[in-house]
Amino acid sequence: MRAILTTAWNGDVRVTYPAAEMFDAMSSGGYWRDRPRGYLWAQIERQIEAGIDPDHAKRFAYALEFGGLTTAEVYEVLRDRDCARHGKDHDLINPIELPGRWFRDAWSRGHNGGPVWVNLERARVIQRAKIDTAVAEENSRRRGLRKRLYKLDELTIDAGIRNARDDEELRRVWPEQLQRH
Amino acid sequence: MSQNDMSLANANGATFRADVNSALQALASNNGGSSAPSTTYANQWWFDTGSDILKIRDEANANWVNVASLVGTTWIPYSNGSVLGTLANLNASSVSTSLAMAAGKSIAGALTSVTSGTPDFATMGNAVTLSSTATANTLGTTQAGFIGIIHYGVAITITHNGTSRILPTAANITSTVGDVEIVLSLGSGNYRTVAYMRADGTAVGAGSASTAQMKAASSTAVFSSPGRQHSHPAHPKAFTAGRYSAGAPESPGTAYGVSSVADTGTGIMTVNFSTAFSTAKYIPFGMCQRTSANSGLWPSIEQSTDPTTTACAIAFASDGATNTDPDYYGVGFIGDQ
Repeated sequence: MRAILTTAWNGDVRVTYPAAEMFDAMSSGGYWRDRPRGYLWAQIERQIEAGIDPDHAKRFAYALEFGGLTTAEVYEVLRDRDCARHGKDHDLINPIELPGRWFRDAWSRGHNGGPVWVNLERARVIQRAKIDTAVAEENSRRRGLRKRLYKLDELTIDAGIRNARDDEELRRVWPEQLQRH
Repeated sequence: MSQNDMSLANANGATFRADVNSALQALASNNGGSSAPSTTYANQWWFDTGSDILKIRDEANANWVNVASLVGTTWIPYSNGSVLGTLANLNASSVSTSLAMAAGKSIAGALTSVTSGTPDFATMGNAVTLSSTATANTLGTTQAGFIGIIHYGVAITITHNGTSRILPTAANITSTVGDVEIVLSLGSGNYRTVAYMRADGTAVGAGSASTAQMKAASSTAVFSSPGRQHSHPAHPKAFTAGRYSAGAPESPGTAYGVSSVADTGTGIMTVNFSTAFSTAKYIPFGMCQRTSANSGLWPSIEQSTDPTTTACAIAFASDGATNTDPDYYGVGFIGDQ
């Protein structure tokens, strides 16, 4: 199963995973066959009211009701209906091409789309926040056990974060005694 | 016609001869008379001129047994005390073997076509087909136990009547072309529908609920079918589940009523519905699991994105502020579609 990559209007990366059910439904049709007359039009109107482009709403509804689409066409319909209004530069990708999720919120793309890469400056902030969270959780655990609290060597950690040359090196900056999760 | 005691008494010549002639005439006329012979014998014949019935004395010489009835010039035989001769007079005890029907023949004969007015089973046999302006609220008067079949070649409303036209679930039926109804006569022109099958093969009555009945969720006379149970208000209209461990949220293979799931950031995903809700006031629910941390994690509606009728953004967080990827999640939505 492939996914649809989108650059959101705020620059974030959005990855949309189609449901397997859609491929069967848009191939065979009859998705709302037990519904009363006029339900197809009600569905189109509701989607338009929810902000979906009228043409995209119609094509999506027709596909579910009448079927006949190929796999490639299903991706197209879902791209238009579920992704188009949220951003630009839509690409069909294999999810294994994506970077690891550790720095998910630092994922970025070029101005004209293309592959996903990790924005190192945003990743440094994320890494420090993750370490702070791990310290807080560790000290919460120690308080319960009435143990001495863990004290982070901030100078060493901050230096490591600041000097990391790529996301792999940055991810390795981690206090030895803390659980990584 | 005459009767005689069939016993020749001692007498003079003329009287004896008259007695012999009377006995012979009685034999020749089967002891015909409006009342039974005064002297009876086992297996003796008697033609009852009062009711035109030929009778025979039983073996015990105790009772007269009807043998045949003379109607005009036609003899109609009896069996077990009842007149035979027409199917209308048959009953189960008078028929010792099954009736053999000619191939392709029905009991009543033809399928009677009714193009206007109401069918009358009393004159049309037991199978009718309705078309044009025919109606079916009355069906004629037949004896109780009669079974009639109605084929609908026209869409009409059959009106329930608690006495004369008892329909399944006590509700009116709007026929469609091709429907078939089987009715049981209760006598006096009253009928109960014992089966009503739609042209598409579904039954009326204790059959499957319509979408409207499922949404109303009040009927106790119909059953939900797999293709319509999702219309019940308490049934989840959409759900999806998956793991983040594969890089995720993974492709929603475990999903229902969902067109896609969008990964929009750490611990945030948007569920897009394949069928739009009638209002954005539906009920999201779900759970998630975080296996590697001390604190729990809960799904909630993402704070900066209001739910719409076509999508809902879900955030996973332990403290309400820091979104975190769960290892496993399952979320669903209940509402009206």
